[in-house]
Amino acid sequence: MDFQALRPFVTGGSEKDLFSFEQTFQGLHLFKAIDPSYYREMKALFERMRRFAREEVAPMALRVDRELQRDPENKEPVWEMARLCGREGLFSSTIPKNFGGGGLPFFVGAMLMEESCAACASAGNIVGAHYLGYLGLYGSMKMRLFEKICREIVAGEKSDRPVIMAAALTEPLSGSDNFEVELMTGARLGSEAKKVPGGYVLNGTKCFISNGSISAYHTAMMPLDRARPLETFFTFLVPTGTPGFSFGRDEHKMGQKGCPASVMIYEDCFIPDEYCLSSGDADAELTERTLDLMGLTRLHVGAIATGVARGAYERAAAFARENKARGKLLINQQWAQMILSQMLMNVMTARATYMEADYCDLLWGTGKAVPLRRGGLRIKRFVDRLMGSERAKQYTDNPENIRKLMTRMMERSGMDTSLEATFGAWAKATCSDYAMENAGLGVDLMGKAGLRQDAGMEKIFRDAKLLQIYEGTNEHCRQAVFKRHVAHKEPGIKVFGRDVT
Amino acid sequence: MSRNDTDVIALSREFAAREIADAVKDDDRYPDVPFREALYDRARGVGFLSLLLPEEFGGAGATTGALAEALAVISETDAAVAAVVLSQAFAHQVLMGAGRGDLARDGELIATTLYDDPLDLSAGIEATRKGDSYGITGDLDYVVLAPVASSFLLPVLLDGEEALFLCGKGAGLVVGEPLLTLGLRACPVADVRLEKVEGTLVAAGDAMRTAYRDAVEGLRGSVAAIHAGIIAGSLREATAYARERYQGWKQIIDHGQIRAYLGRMAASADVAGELFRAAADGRGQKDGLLASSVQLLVGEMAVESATNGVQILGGSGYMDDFGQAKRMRDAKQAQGIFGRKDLLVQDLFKRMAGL
Repeated sequence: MDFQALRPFVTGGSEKDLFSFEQTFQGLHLFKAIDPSYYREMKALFERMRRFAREEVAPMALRVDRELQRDPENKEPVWEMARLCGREGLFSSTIPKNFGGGGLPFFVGAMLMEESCAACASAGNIVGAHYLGYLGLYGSMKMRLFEKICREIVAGEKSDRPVIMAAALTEPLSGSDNFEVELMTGARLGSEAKKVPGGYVLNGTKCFISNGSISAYHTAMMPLDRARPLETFFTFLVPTGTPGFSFGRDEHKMGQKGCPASVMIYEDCFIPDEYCLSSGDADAELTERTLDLMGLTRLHVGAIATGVARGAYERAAAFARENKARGKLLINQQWAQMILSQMLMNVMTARATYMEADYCDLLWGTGKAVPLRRGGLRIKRFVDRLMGSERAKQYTDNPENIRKLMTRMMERSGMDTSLEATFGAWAKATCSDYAMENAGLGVDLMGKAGLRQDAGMEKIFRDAKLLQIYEGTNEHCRQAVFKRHVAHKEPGIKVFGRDVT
Repeated sequence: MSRNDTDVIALSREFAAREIADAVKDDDRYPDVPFREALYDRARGVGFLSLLLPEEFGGAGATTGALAEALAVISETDAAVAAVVLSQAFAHQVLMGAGRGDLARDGELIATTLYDDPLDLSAGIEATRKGDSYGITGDLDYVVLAPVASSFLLPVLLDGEEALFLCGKGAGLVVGEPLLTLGLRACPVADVRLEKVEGTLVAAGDAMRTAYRDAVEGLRGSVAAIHAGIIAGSLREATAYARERYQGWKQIIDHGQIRAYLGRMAASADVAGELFRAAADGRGQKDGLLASSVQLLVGEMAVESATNGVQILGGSGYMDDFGQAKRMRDAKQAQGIFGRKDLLVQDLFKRMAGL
């Protein structure tokens, strides 16, 4: 059978597609009233992304996976996927319009992640990992540097040579430790940055860095003093090619092969002051609140996972529609219907979960930049323009001003980073568990066809597992939810064996 | 357990340590690396490729219990090698059940439909009579050992009835490119196309069905043994890692959640061991229900254990440098042996209820 010819199973024609914008995202109907232009923009973008994922990403996904299975060091298939994403403008979609980007708020990014990952998790991960690096830069509020990199990213897309970012946090001896303040102080960090005249010198090794070896810039996070990581954890922007920085090998992963995971090596790597993205020493509370903002990236992993769960469902349903077991079409056998139904419900539950986290970010987290009112998107773009002005650049040239600005934002904007972290961790763990469940059910349903790479389901099974691991393991996410939602609210509860802040 | 059986188990341990362990990672890159013929020459030499075949046909004459023990031991190191041994044992059991043990020759590899549902055979190919011989035509997908076998034991429709034929590799039989599979990669699989291929009729009708299904039922315990071996291997590696790796202030083995995973894996390893033995010895064969139940449940335990085995190692578990990712893939792949597990569940209930 021609497995490549299997197309997503669309119920009742495209206008009644259960995964249509109208039927999928019930909550977004509210935007018709809140901000109709925002609603229209989201819908158009969503539909464009669906076409892109189905017509352009899906046909190349299995080939890229197969080529990288054959030769994990071969970068060409990775670049092929990256260029495809770049032509669609995915690396610049949230860059402010005044810097040449798409000007989208992060809120929309999650839905786009789901769409692309229903076709291929690697495509989504390349874009997602790019935004991990981008967020570090964006959050630094160094507007002069931010504009420079944004314009390079936009130019890279136009010239079909994508300028991709990455974020480097994980190290050989410390992984999820770095996501919680209680663990950070005991984490076996090997990296360290030292202040020197005019900049910093970085030393150490990072590993499992998504997009690492294809990145033009990455944010490297390491302490100035390993004995005081909470107070001295700094972020640096490292351009590829900086003396003292080199790539180690790309890891040989089980899945998501289209997005490389690399080792990054820093040997007396000098980074000038203007590429330091932190604005001074922190304290435990500020570090925790900053780490809480990882809820945003985790909810995006939830969206990636929902896409993977949906890809499994779509492929399984298409297979069941055309194949028989014991003389009857699978789709007409009740046991198979129950499996498909469960897979579909898993997708819907996962989507509801990450969307709740997305709304949480909109209301209490980084999404506060988009006022929830008529014309809110236009206001956001006005603020973007303001932030890109020469005056803003001059203001943010001074780290002390950035520090004041950030403190003000955190304290006065009504942000609730703890809530953001809770919802993000919940979405990540829940959706990735559903992705893994759906992948397993899909393999089972397809029988021996589920076990061959050219039929696609086995790739989904391999891809799905990583979602339970990266961006903090699911166990860690559960602990994060407990800490913030229970331990923080009741006296005398210890987490990780320690009093919680 | 006979002296012979004890020898088989001891030999398996030695074979796994000396011949398999160092090459697991490379072999797992099949079909992008060559099939390790030399390994199977040595396996043939010590009798692994004809374990269940009686001595009169040149086999080791071991029991299914000994086979299962050997598979568990080998799977702890590399379940793909165990799958080759199982596929071979399956072919021999079918031939013996059909009274044609004489067709099994000296441990030569025989391709089989190991992943097919025993109640849903011969959908793809048909045989037609040509005087005293038969011509077989059609497409069959996912034939185990097809890229490396010298003969093919295939379910075929003959005059509208299920039949089994043994075909040699030769004119008219085209083996497709070796497939990249989810797991058990070093146990090669390919699609096969036959165009008027001559074959020897092994059995037809009830005799075929009985031979095929008895072989399946008799070896379900061996599938469970492969899963038990995977659990044991996963537990061993996860425990060793948890003793070395720190998170925060503590070794991860001192974190309650890691202990919960390891505790479940240890329980699964114990229970899986008991169950595959029960299924593989006489009990499982007298009452096919036990063997089916054991294959089903030990398979689920193995998938859970191997998946958690990856999780305990975190990012490292997802990389090929460690064995956990392979075990996870192997466990899921082995769940597909003898057909969909969801249909096995349906059959179990029907048989239990006499439906």
